[in-house]
Amino acid sequence: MWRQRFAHGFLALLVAGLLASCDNSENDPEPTLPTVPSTTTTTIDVTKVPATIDVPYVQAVMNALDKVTGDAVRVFVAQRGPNQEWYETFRAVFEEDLFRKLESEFGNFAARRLEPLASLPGNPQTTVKRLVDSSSTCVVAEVDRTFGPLLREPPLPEAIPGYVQLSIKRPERDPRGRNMTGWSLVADIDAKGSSIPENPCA
Amino acid sequence: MRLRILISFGVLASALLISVRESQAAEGPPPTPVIIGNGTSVTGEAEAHSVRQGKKTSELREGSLSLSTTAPGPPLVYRSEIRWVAETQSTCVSITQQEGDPNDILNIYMEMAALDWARSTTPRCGASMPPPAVPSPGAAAQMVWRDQMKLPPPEPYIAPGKAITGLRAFMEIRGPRTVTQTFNVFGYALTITATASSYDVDWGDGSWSRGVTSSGGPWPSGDVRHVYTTQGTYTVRVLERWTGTWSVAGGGGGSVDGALSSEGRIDAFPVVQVQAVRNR
Repeated sequence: MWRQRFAHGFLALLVAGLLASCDNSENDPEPTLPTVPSTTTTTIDVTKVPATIDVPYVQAVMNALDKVTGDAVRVFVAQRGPNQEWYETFRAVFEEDLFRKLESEFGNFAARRLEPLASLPGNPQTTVKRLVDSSSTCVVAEVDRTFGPLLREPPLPEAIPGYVQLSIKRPERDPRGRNMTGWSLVADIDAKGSSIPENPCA
Repeated sequence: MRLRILISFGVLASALLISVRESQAAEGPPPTPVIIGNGTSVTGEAEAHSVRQGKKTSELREGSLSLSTTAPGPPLVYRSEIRWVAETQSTCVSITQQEGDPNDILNIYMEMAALDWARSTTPRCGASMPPPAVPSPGAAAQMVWRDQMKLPPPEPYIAPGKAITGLRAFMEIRGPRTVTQTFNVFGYALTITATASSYDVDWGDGSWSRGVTSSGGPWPSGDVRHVYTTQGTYTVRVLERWTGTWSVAGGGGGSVDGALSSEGRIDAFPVVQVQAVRNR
C-alpha cells in the first residue's frame, strides 16, 4: 500500500489536470522544427517532426525523453541533490508547470536524503499505445508509464495507464541542447480520474 | 474462539501485524501497550509483530483492541526542499508549512527533513518561512526510535526441525539481542541501542508462552519448551520485544519510551506422532 500510495503521489505531481492547451507560447513566438517526410527506415530522427506523426515516432521521442530524464536523475542522486546539469536537463525535458512541480518534489527528495530514490536509478519507462491527437506542434498519446526504475521501492502496478502531452520544445528552455528531441513534456497524467478534451491539440 | 485482527500501520518502512486472541491460555503476563506509530499506541490483549513495508491506515475487523492517537498539534506539517538557484550556482533550502496529517508516513518524512534543515546553515530560499523549533535530542531520539529503527527478526529454531507429540519441543531463539544504530537527524549524531527484553511465543496450536526472557536452548536444558498433543503442521511465531536507550555525541542520553517488536517464524513446522511397533 505504501508503494502504491507513493506511486500515486509521484504521479500526482505530474498531473496537470486536464491536458494543457498546446498553445503554450503566449508571449513567445511559436517555435517550429523543420518537417521532413516520413521514411520507412528503422532509424527515427527524433530531432525533427515528420510529416505524419505516428506511434513509432512518439515512442522514439518518449524513449529519448525517458533516457535523458534518467540521466538527470542519476546525476541528482550522485550529487545528493540538484545541480546545474539536473536543473538544465529537467527544464529542457519538462515545460514550466511540470518542471516546477518536479523541482519541488525532487527538492523534497533531496531534503529527505534521497530516501525515495534508488541508489542507481533507471529510466522512466513509457509504452505508447495510441495517439489521441497530433499536429506539427503537439502530440497527445495514450501510454502506459512507470517511474518505478527511479525509485527505491518500485510502485505497484509497474506501469500505470495515462496520457502524455508533448509540445515543440522552446529553444530558450534548452540552450545547451541537453534534450536531443524537439519536444518537451507538457502534461503527464494518470488515466484514472482524468479527462481528455476531444481534440486536445486543436 | 480465536479472534484474529490484522492491523497494518506504517512506521517509516515498517508495519505492525497485530493478532489478538481472545482468552487464550497465556503462560506469561499480559502484554504491555505497544507504540506502533507517531503517538499511536495499542492497548488490549494484543500481540504486535513487526514486518517490513507497511502502510499507514489501520484496519480493525473484530476483537477488543483499542487504538489511540496522542500526537499533538494542528493538521499542518513542515516541508523542506533543496532547490538549485541557477543565478548563484548554489542550493538553498525552502521550509514551508502545509496542511497534512502529522501521522501520515510521508508527512513524517517531510517533517523530519524540515526540522533537520532548520538547524542547517544552508541559505534559505526566498519564500522560506522562519525555521521551526528544533526538538531536543531526547525528542529526536524518540522520533527515530519510533520511525527509523530497524530491528532484526528473531530466528526461532526447534531441533531437529520437527517435534513429536507427547514430548517436549525445545526452542532456541537465535539472532542478535542487542542492536546499535546511528542516526544524523536534526543536526544531532544519535546512537540508539535496542535490547531484546522479552519474547512471546505462539506455538501455533493455540498455546502461547508470553513474556519469556530467556532465549531458550536445545534439549535437555532449554527453558522455552512446549508439548504438542496433536500431530500436524504448525506456524510457530516469536515476537521479540525491544527496549531502547539513546545517546548523543557531545554527551547526554537516556531511555526511549515504548517497546518495539520484531517477529520471526517457522513456517510449516511438522509435529509427528511416533507409534511403537512390536515385532514377534
